[in-house]
Amino acid sequence: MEKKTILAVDDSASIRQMVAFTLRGAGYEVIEAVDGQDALDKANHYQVNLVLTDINMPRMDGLKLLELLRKLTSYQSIPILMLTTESGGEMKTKGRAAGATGWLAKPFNPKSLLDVIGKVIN
Amino acid sequence: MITLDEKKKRMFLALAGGVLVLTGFQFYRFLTVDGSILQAMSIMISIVLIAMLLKLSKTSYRGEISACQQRDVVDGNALYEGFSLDSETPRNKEVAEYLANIKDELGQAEQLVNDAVTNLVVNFGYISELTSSQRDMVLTVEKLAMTDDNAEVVKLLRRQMMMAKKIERELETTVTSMQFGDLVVQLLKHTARQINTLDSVLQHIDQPNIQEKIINQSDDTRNKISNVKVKMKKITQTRPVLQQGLQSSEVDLF
Repeated sequence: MEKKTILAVDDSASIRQMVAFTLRGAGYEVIEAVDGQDALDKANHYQVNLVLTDINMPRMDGLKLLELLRKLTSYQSIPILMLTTESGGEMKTKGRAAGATGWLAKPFNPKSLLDVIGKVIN
Repeated sequence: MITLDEKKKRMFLALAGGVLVLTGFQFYRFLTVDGSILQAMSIMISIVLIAMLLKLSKTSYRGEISACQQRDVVDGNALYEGFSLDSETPRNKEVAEYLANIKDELGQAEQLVNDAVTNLVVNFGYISELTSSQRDMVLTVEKLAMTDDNAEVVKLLRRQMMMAKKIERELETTVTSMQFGDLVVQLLKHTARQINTLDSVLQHIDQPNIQEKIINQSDDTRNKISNVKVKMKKITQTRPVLQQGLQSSEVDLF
């Protein structure tokens, strides 16, 4: 069976490594991006099955990335999960309005992350 | 009472008047008596007056330039348009140094956290790889030893396998704990932003003639101070990290 590909976006190298470790360990292919702009470039270049993105990032934040990805035909039905330290209601409402599939607050638990991804990626 | 600004303004006007009179006089002399000593003297005086005018205008605007440099601190918004800032008062210098020290220390803390996390991530990766290799090795040895004669060895290998699984579970917990670096760095950055705001507010409040400005330009100044308060409140309220500990947080599917 072909491996599913996940685009993991975070400006923190340690978080990217933790996410990649968790996802690769569960058999996913992982593409890493350092910010929204980098993610947008990679999203245009690769076909991914799910996007997991932080919000507070330099150059382009996660909400802008979400907004731009949802405008692309190929990303209209792709699950986009927000993984962020922001757990405030206002930000969550904005994310939901912009088309986020789900919201995970950091620090994430590997098992919960894999459960959520397993639910939405199929 | 004549303020420092008013004194400068009056001196500026007087000097400008002097320059105008002298220039007119020179022009008149130029038209009538070429090369006289009087003309040479008046030219010299004009040069001195122009130099004084330039110096005076520099002094008046230096404070405003400093204020402009401070403006971008709060979310890139200009909060203090129209304020002139004398950042060279002893108290302002003291406050600026104090806040600069705090910002330096926050930067140092951020650097230390980043270094610690980078090292931990490297160690984590290494332990994780070793655990994975060990598990594969135990599985292979278990297959090779699967005979009746090796029942005891197989038993030991299974215990070994259980230990490997426990280590892997511990590593998963570590994934959650190791995200502390990102949370701490975001909190430090937020604190630095708040200090920057406080810095600009203090710089503007700590002007030598702020009380007079408040009295003379009451509405304008009060509005500006009120805007600053709103911005400060907004920055304080938009905390990037609300988590109090490293327990894994909630998950919401929309």
